Amino acid sequence: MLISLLAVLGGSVLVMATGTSTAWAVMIFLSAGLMIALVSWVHMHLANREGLERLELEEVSESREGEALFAEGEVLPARRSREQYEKWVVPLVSVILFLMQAGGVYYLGFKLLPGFIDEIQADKSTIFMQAPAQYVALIVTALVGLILFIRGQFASEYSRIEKQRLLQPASDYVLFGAYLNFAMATMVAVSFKDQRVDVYVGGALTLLLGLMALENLLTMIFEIYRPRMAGRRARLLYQSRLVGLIAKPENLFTTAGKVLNYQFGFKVSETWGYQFLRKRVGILIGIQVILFWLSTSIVVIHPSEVGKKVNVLGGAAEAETLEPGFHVKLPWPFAEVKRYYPGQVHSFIVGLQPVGDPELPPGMKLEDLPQLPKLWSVPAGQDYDALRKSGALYFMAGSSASNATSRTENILVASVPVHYRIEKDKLETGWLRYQNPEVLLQNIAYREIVAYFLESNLAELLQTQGSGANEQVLNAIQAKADQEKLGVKILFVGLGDIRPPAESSATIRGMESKSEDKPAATGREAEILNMTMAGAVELRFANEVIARTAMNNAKVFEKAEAIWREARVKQIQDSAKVKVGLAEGQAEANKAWLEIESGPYRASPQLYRQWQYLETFQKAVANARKYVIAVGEDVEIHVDLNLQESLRQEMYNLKGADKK
Amino acid sequence: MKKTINIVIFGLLLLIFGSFMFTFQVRQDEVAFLSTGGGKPRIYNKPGLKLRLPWPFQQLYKFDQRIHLETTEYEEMTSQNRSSVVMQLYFGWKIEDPDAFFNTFEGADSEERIAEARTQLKKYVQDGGKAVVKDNVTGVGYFIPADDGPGETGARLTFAQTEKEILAESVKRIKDQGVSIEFVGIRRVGVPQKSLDEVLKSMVKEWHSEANFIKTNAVSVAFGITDKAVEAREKAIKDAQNQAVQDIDDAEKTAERNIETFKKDPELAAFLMQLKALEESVKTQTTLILDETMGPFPILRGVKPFLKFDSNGTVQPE
Repeated sequence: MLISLLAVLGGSVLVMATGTSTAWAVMIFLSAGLMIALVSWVHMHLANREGLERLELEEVSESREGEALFAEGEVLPARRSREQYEKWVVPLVSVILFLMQAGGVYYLGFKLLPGFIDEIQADKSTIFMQAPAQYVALIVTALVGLILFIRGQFASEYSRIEKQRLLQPASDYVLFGAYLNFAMATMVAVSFKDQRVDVYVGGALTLLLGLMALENLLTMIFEIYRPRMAGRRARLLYQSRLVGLIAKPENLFTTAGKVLNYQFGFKVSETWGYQFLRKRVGILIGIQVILFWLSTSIVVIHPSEVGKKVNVLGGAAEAETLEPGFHVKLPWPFAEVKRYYPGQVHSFIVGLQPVGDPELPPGMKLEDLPQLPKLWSVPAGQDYDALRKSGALYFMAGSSASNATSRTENILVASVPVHYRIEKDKLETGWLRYQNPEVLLQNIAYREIVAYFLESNLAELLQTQGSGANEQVLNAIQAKADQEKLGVKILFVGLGDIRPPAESSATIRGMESKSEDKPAATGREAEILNMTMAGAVELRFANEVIARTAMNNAKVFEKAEAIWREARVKQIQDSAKVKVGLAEGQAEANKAWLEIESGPYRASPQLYRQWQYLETFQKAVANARKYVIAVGEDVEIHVDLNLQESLRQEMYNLKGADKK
Repeated sequence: MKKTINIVIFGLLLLIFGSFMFTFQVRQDEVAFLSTGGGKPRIYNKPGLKLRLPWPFQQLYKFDQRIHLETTEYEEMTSQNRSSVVMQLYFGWKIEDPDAFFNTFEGADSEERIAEARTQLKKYVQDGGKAVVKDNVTGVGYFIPADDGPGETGARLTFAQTEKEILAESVKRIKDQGVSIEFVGIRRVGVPQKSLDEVLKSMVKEWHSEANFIKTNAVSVAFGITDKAVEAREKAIKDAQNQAVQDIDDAEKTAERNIETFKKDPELAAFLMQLKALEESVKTQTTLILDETMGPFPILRGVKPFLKFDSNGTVQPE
């Protein structure tokens, strides 16, 4: 119990010094171990008392043969105390133990570790432990671990040899505590390189704590339904099989041997192979560990990679360049190889980062999702609201208002991908001159894109998102990167995703901008206030389409009018020409006719007139309906004529009418 | 065998932990300080493997001597005309004088000292930026090239000139601290969050007005074109009609001149016109009720007067 108390003190020092999740987990395990040691110690004390009492009873029984004065159970107080202890105290302690384990899982898994994970996600090189704390932790874990290991081994062997079953849970926990301290020591050693290891080890220990809590709960439930048989000893409620397995893994072989014997029907556990495996498993694992460690001396550099090898023990402080292929180095941690990828195309996005792929239900592919249109009026992007609230979402551009003496500013949202490649021959002299060159390149890209936006205006940026602008910005970034001797080749800059803000002036700050001292806007003012910038830009573009359509229609109408005008003018001219021609022709014809007729007329006016008269009469009345009333003078007749014609004249002369 | 393996593993662990505890390496781009018992540290700025005692006997500090990149906060700064502008800067710095650096920036270990240096330098650059903005920059519009001629534009600082000014201001503040600022750049520039709604309002107003102007202007021009086309058509037709009337008048005048010919034989002309009129007037749909005295119908009463040839062979009435 004192050893367990020492372990808990060591755990407390670890928690105070490091504050890591692993230290907290170790502390919870060791506290549980202390409680078990306490329970076990009392249990052993009661069992000893019972043993002494039994001996005493046997002695009394032998001296007074035949007299059964103390034969009744009620007169054995030590035994009764032990039974009462097992009946009430042990289950109570098991419940407290379970609550402690469950509380530990909750604290570690839902309070401590999420905070650490968030910190790691924000910054991979987050420092959880300072160097002095690491050294303190190493010393404490090594010291406590060693003491626990020695004492645990002794207690475990003692309990096995002496068949002290009440000592087993506490001895298992002491050994388990030793292993926990070694795990903590390993974690601290690795943390000199990478402190994220604390979260991994802490997570694993939390999982183990959860499993132990579950085991404890199940043991308690099974205990309720366990058949009580006189003279049969039950397994101790506070003894964990899981801890026993971890503390004494050789028990696994015993159990496995029994299972195999039963399954195969003969003593598999007595065969040479099984015995060899049982005896040499430690050596085999050790050889595996050594082989694994030696394998860290082989390095494979893939195509498009460049390795930089630094030997720690060799004293070569200058990094040696490794080309693609197999290479040999000193094993970890005496040498390390950092990999760079100058042949590959790297990329980042300036401005709003696109939304990641959504989580899909099983069996569904990203391509199966309906492709939603990316509209200016629909805000989309990573951390959009947070960026909007801070104002970091927006870039500034010039305004298209040309009548101003100095241009006013416009706001826009952009998401500009930049692709680049590290130049292999400038890796040492350029890229590696900087501690964090990616950050510098991103800053340069931001600078040049911001400067380009300020030099342009929003209308131009929206309408001329072409290769010319891309090339201009690409060249500017390349020039600046060259100026800083960064050793990169800028491959692509895409200014395609530039859009006006999706917000209105009433919503851009995330709340209604109606302040109490301002009167509520009405009419056009309200329309402007509530119109989104995307809406205003879309309205302008729509009006441009309307304007172009109106102009096109007007030009088409103009052409049609011109054609109509020309046709009508020509028609009038032709008509006039015809009329003029007719008038002139008729005049000429009349003149000619008179001149022709004048000769015969002069020769015999009377005869000519009579002749012409009759000739004309004949022709004139040829087609007329004629009624000649030739009854002589002074004769009166009465004739009724139906002057109504039922048929036109032509109908009387139909072709073929005379054929019968 | 088991013992050998155990010895090997133990030896390896001893070697690993021993190398960590008793040696350290100074790389080409590093500088190291080894302090014994908290005393004045010894500087190691030449690369190689060095020996040391483990903590707490000796404390090791290692610093990266390459150029470090820092980015300041996106911070609001007062401008020359008492408005404000939000600016974010980036800068590159490196340890120039390790001894001075070590003495200037406090910390329990290397990381803490570097973190302290980063914090201080960020503050200096930020302060330098604020000073330059306060003295020169009037707002975001300051960086937007204006169409107001080269004179005023020349008086303004460009992006690059502003960065140079900020660098000069920042360098003044880091004197004798063992670090040098290599460059300063403006990462982004914007308007304060509280002014965003006003800027957006003026933008929307501008774009809305422009949208209306484009539409109204186009419709007006289109109407102009159509009106002009209609007017041109009507004028052309009117002109053509006038011209036609004129031509016909001229033609009729010419015809009138031909009537002069009729004056030579007016009776014949009248007779011929009567005949023509007769012919035209009874051409179609005409019913004539005639007695035997009209036209050729007297002949219905017989061929009178009767004729006979005289001695000269001339026809004479009987």
